[in-house]
Amino acid sequence: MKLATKFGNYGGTFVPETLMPALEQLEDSFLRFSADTDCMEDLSQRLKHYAGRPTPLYYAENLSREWGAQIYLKREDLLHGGAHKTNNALGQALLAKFMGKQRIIAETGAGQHGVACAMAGAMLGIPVEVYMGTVDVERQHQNVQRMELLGARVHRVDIGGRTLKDAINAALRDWVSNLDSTHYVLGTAAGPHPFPTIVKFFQSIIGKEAKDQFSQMTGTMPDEVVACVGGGSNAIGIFSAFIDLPEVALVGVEPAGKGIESTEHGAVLQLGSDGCLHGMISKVLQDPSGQIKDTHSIAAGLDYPSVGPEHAHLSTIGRATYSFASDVEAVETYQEVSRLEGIIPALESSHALAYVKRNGHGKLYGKRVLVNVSGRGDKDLERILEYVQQNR
Amino acid sequence: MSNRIDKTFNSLRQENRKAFIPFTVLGYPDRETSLTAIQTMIDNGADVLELGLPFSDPMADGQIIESASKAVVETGFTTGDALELIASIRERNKNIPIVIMSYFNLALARGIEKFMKDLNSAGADGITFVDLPPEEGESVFTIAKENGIAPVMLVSPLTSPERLTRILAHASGYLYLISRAGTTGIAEKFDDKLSTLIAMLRSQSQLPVCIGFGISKPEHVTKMLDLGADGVVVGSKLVEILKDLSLPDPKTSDVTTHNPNARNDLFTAAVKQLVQATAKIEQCTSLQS
Repeated sequence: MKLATKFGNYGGTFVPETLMPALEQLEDSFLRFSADTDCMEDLSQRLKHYAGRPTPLYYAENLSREWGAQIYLKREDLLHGGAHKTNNALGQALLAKFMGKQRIIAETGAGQHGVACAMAGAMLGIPVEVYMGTVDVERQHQNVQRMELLGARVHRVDIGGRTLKDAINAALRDWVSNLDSTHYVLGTAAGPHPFPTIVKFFQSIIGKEAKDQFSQMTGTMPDEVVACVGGGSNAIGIFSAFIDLPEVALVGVEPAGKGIESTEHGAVLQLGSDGCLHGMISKVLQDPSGQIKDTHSIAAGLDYPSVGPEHAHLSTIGRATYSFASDVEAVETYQEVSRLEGIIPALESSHALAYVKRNGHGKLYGKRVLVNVSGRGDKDLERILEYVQQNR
Repeated sequence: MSNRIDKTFNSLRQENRKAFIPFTVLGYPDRETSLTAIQTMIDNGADVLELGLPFSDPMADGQIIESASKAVVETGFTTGDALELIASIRERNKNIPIVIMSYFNLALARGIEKFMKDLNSAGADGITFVDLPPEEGESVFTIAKENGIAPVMLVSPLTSPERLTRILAHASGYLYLISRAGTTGIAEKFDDKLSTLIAMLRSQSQLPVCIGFGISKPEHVTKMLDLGADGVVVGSKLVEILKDLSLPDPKTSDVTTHNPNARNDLFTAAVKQLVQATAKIEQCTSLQS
């Protein structure tokens, strides 16, 4: 490998021998692709004219008044496809084409990454197959229909916890069996090197734009940047522009599910320990024997027992801190942001917003807070109504 | 002690025989049946045992071993339980080499040194980590060797000569050549470069070369030995046969009306099937001599 494979002690290439040459080839292609001005111009044009970048930065006046902090929203929910996932899917689909691959596979949790890959595949004429746990297929079935409408084939993964983790296992198995023809578009900044680096590269546009926009709008920098963390791609995307500015606090918000004192959560950086899963060393929720635990979050996109290695590193060195929000908080915030601001945030993004709501009249009072609204919440509407009815 | 592996391959070489290496998942379908099945394999001609430590997320395994591993993990089976099983196999069988197949996280969770020491005390001889390439494993393989555990390294059809050098720097016992790019399972197609690969391995290493992944029929065994392998690993096929042998779950079946004889008949029939599969393959390996 030519690039550093680890972030501090985290990351690496913990994969079967058969995958190693493929990862070496991927790194090599990525280095050539990202250094090629034509390729970068092509990506930039498509992001602009096809996907709708730059996405706006919006000062949320009503939320700010109600919650106490000065709240600025980076509107990735307005990106084509409805979430930040398009940045990476488009970038990696072009990379796949650059490598001469004829087929794309992907895993998906909430379905947004699957939808983004299906769109990119449709536009570029590359067949797409998406692995999705059956629990997620059920709770995000609208996105399954979208993927199928866009021409992708959705494989239902019916083993284990039947969520994102199991979908990644299945996608890795497909990849290792079809390396010649297939590129695996990993959707989050996790997995073996070079994936965390590649995904960060494509998602860092969120941070670059937000930093410029924030500076133009306010003449200063935010006090705190907040994003939800499942695998951590939207968070690393927005954090990336601020990591070198020590005066800007970085906060990732993990899913506390039914409460971090319960067994049903996904608070990996809060309660996980060092472990090896999906080709990387990172924080992992595991039992004393090293078996990976099942997680729970009402947000399918956060329902993952590990986290991108750079977050584990940022947490360890104290550069970023990680908090959490529960299912209940996320649902309340989802509803409140919709009513107050006319913006329906994804359940995933609602976790980040819930943290701001909880601390707005406390430590964040009057502070400039930049929140990444990683996606829009139309996909969650049915689930929310169901949840509210069950918990009335 | 890795000298059980060396001794075994030396005597196989002297007798001009090839190694039959069955694989199963420790604790599958339950502890008792697992032990019986392993003893059945030994009694019917296994030369080396490969035993899988079940992991919740076995990404290199196909559906059969994945399901088996998950089923065992779900019973609360721990690495400690696995070590007990290994020890009781060793107690009854002093000479057969035992190689453990594991995912790296299970060693990491126990502590690498303790993991290796415990394997050694239980009577294991070698370790294969499915997800630990030489780039990441250097210190782990050193600790293994210091504790008398041979790192049995995987080589894939896609491994380049440069990578092979790195792998051989750690390899001990024998080399495990993967038959095709893919997961474990039951296959009909194998990589057509296998004979070239074996030649490459021979030119750079003295270690025996055993082939696994997808091998499920006597004709596959014959083919691999024709290509020049020193042994074959058969896993998924055997695990599949074991699937129906689990003890009844008192939570889901009516224990009071459960007929123990019916279960025994099922068990015996399946063991016979297992013996037959083992013997068939053993017959093929013997035919080569």
